Amino acid sequence: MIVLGIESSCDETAAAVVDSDRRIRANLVLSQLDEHRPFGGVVPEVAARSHLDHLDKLIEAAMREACIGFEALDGIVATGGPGLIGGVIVGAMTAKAIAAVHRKPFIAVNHLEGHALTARLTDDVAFPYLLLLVSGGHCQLLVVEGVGRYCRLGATIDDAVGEAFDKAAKLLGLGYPGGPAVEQAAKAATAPVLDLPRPMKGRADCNFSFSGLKTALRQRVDALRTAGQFDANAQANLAAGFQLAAIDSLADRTRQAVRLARETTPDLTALVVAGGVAANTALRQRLAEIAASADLPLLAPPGKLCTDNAAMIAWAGLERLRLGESSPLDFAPRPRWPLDQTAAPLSGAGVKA
Amino acid sequence: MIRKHDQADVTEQQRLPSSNPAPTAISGTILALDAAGHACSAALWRDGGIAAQERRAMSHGHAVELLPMIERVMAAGGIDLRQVERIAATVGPGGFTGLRIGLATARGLGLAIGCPVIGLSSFQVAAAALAGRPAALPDRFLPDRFLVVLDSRRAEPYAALLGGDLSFLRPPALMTLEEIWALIRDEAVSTVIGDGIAALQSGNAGETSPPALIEAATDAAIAAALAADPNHRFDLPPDPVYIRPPDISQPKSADLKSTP
Repeated sequence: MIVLGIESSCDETAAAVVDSDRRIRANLVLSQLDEHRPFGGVVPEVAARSHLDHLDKLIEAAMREACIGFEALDGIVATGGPGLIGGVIVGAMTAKAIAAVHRKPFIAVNHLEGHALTARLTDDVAFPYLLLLVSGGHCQLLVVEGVGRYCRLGATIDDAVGEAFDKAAKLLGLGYPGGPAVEQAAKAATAPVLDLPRPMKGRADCNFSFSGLKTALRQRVDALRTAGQFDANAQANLAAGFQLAAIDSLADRTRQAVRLARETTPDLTALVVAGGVAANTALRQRLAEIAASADLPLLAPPGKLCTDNAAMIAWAGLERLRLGESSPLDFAPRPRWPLDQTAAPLSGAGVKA
Repeated sequence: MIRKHDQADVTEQQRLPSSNPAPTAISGTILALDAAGHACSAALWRDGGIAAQERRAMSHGHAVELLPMIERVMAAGGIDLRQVERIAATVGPGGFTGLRIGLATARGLGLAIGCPVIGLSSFQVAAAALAGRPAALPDRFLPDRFLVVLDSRRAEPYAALLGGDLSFLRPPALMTLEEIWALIRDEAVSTVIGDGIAALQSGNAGETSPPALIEAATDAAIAAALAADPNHRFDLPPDPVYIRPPDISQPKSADLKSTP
């Protein structure tokens, strides 16, 4: 079985071809970073325009790289949500059109399911496993019980952690995107600021919160700027302090989730981390310690499969397809689409829960 | 897993023709789409005329409606999508989301069929729609010069001055109502058409010789007829014509403060 995957739900236009033997035949990602950088974040209308400008040519290139024609595909997969709806629509309509011409199944998949199932593409991990999903738009802990079966243990009640990194980088004058910028700046720290808050640490639930940490950071930056002491050294020490606090919080929440998940799901096979923030080296190291102490393997897909990509979308569609599932051509793209549809919405989290 | 294959199978699959070989294109066949305005429509042009068409008025929901509509139109026209020789879609201006739905679908169809995709101006399609209903204008199909005003879903409509042959006498622009009235006076415009005329109706009172305001909207069947022009006079690249730039608030200067 072999499918084409299309991703266009945020600021990456992506197309990939993946087969059921877990081989990635093509995996192309066109980043819009330069188009959004002047604005310090993703502008939805700019993103939607850019997806339309580039998607068809990118699909053509992916098909060429995979040496395959549309008629040989078993299905056409696209992100159907959640995400910036203008971009999701471009990808979904393109996929529907290709599927209609060649009378192939169209599969609209949940973008988060793409992240959630990536470890099955890269490591063939068996269900059930615990997933920490950390990106610019999402921050949650889930038990992945099967394809389409997710039990949410916790999620952010305000900002996603990647969003918090972006905002911290902005406050510190480190540019966009914030994750790599903060991580890089932190390396130069001589005395990391250790007394920033560790949001939600010690709480019985597995939820996250990052807005308080961001506010605390802003107050420090403002005070130092007022005193004329915000120099490169202070910048590095605050970046390191922020990263440490964020990772402490993520680690505490994950440790709590392992405990809770073990109660209901004693046969957990692994701790899996996915999403763009999973590219953070310090976070990976901390999660490896947590996994080791819980006697679980830590599975962290390679960086280019952690950030948004179409290989994960193709794979999630392939998992659906081999269960005999597909989507109708009147599928309505969904700006909000929680993975665990039974979980109660968290106030303040918006689409991030 | 339904089926497993190894590398050899795949290579074979690539070389062999598909079990369902593509039917050959039918010369002069055009599938046209319009989702840029307040309707969703699809039309199949074949043998010099419309073979099948469908249209539904809607301000939202084009993404849900368009593909099933295309499939019904193709079924009614009795041909396979792979036999279509050209795809045409309106490029706007219009609703940003709607025109992207039409163009993403058109480009996807063109890519999958392996046929050319062209764009058509929503101004020209709306104007041609009026010519298709000559009863609306007693003397002739279209005046020598007329203004097309399209709804932008904002206070300021999109406007373009067209000649009787549908050519642009002035480039399209987003115009305030005051600017539109000034243009009507300066250019002695006697006819204003489009789906944005409602905005002009209230301001008509003070005019000494008010222009005729005639409702006209884009439609895929009209787009197909323009796309069938033997001299390709109306062909545009299948790229969106937004006219209005994205709404972006620049970040506060403090946020952009660079490295200390």
